[in-house]
Amino acid sequence: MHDLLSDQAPWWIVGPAFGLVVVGLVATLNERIGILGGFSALVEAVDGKRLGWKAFFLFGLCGGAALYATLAGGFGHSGYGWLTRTFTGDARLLVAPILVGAGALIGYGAKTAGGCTSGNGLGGTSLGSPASFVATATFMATAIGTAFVLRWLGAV
Amino acid sequence: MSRVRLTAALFGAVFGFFLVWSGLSDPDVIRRMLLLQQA
Repeated sequence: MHDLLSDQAPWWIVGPAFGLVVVGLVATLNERIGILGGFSALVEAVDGKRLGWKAFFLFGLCGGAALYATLAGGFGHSGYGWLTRTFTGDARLLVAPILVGAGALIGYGAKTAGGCTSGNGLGGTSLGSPASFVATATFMATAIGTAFVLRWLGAV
Repeated sequence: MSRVRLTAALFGAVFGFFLVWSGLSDPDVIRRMLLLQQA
């Protein structure tokens, strides 16, 4: 089991698994997959709002990730890629605020777009939502363009 | 726990398991993917 899970899962396993989740949520709960809704539900719970299915989907997601880590041999963490390779020593303290700032921007963008990468890219497009196709094309094109520009600049 | 919450949690667990196994929680994998390289 450990050897199997230590290698990155191939697309022909991950794709159908994600598809199963997308179709399964629609078939059983008549709901669209999304991660952002779970985070929103947790924030709204501070005001006493009852946690709905989206929050429990998020709890399950964390549990599934923890189960993978356990079966694959532990919770080893190699850092945050370029961030932790670049900011070393005392500068490592900058990593946390950068991640918090980036997370806030992602949250703002996802809320504005009416869904996150999962909600639009997996849930919305599979249900044929034109808005989700536009949102997915926009964030993928932006991310791909940014990655190429940063590499061209030699930043990462 | 209600049936709806349990169902959501189970689907979430499947999603989380395969999300991490696919490497999509690894910033370097995401970067290689965005550079259209073999991730």
